[in-house]
Amino acid sequence: MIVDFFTGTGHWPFRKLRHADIRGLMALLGSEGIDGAFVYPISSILAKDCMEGNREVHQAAQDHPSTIIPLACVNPAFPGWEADFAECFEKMGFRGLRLFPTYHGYRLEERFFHDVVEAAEEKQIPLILSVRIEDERQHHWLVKVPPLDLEAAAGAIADFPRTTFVLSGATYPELYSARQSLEHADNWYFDIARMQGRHDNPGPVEVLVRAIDDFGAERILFGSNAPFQYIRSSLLKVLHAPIGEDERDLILFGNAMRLLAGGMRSKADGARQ
Amino acid sequence: MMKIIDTHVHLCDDESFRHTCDLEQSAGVVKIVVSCLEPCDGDYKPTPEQFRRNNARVHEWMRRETDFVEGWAYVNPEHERESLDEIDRAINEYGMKGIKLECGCVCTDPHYRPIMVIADSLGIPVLQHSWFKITGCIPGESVPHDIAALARDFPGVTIIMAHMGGDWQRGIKAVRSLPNVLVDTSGSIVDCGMIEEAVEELGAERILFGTDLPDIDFWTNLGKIEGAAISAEQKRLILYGNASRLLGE
Repeated sequence: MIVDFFTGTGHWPFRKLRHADIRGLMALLGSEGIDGAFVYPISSILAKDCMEGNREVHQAAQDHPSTIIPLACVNPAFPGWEADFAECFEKMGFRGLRLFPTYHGYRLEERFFHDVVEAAEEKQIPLILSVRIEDERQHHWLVKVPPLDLEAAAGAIADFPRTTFVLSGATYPELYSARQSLEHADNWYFDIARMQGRHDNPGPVEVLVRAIDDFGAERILFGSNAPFQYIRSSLLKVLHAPIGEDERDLILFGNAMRLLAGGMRSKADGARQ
Repeated sequence: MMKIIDTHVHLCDDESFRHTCDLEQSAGVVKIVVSCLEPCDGDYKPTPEQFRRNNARVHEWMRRETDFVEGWAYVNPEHERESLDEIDRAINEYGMKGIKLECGCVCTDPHYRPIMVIADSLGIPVLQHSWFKITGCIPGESVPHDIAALARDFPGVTIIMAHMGGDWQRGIKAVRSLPNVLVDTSGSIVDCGMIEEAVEELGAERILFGTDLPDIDFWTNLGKIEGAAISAEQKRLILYGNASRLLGE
């Protein structure tokens, strides 16, 4: 079984994404053997009104309930997000909330963010913090968006221990550089979509081996960043990594299922000694 | 298993040589074409002593893994005379297959001219690093526009634009009309659609598989080709056929 934690659907203005509509995404997931996918609304990254994208994802989840696990998006710095949040989680059945702080223009130290975390905590909704969507070197010249500051994210994770966070789209050096701030917290996961190699992993050791050594397999989610990135690139990385089968299963689906069930990483779990 | 030639590999020491050979051979790769860019300190402006030592190391690895490891002669055009001497040694004595140029200077610099003339006369390809970064290039880094200018000046030389120019949309457009430019797929960018667009705009015959190992994960790179919505024959050309032809096999 394979669950892709990092997929989206919807319009992106800077290039035509193949497989971006829900029909295309479903075909892609099927061709890659993906059984379930967490799907967020791509158009909500840049639209003022995130609900347009949320409605698209909601409809997609209605049409494909056995595959799509819908993630909502709100911008807590934009008026009216509270009502949108309530609609998403009280009426539309979303399973998690993906935030884009650097695209939506707020910092994690600001009140906007604290308010949305408190709302998520009350409903026990996992919060996905998007570190990046596209490589900064490839951004459009008019829209250059920095990655999320992982030290600030680590601060939020520590400040809200009852909320489950996912750091999504981080490179390995970014994650590793924040390890001292993150290592005492149990309420976070990360995905592997942007962990591509030795820049992320000094020395000839596959990045997943390093990630398991440093953080434990129990924190790692398989994610592809489709349709921005090839699913196969992330998938082969996991399928061929020299790791244990138990660890591979956790990464490919076990951790995602635990996250969905509301579980945090157990305190008993740990990185390899 | 489909045969694979990895045209873009960097080795720095015996450990990376052994690890890379083992990994690539287990994955079905039948040949790798290697350069050594030490010291990889973000400068990429080696002295003659450094690039001579690097090429000698590659030659040693070629000797250890005959038929599996081929070499790129790495030089720094800023050191013109020494670069020309080293190319002569690397091609004629070591048996390397072409020239690797990184960021010694931008490829439109006049220092490139004698090297390109030699490449033309020897009939060998030039693998040129290229990466357009909206965040800013490193000193001496060539962008796709520069590759296109070089290719126009030397239409008889086969130039491989590494990494599809980094910003692959920009890279493909820049070299589309220049048949003497091939592109390689190596690097950390795994944007869905990049291979399909390269095939549509350039033709599969102008695309070479590369990884940038050990900097970038092998499987991440292979996934770009395997996951692309192109035909099996186009994948065969990219993974093996084009490189086989280029290397004169």
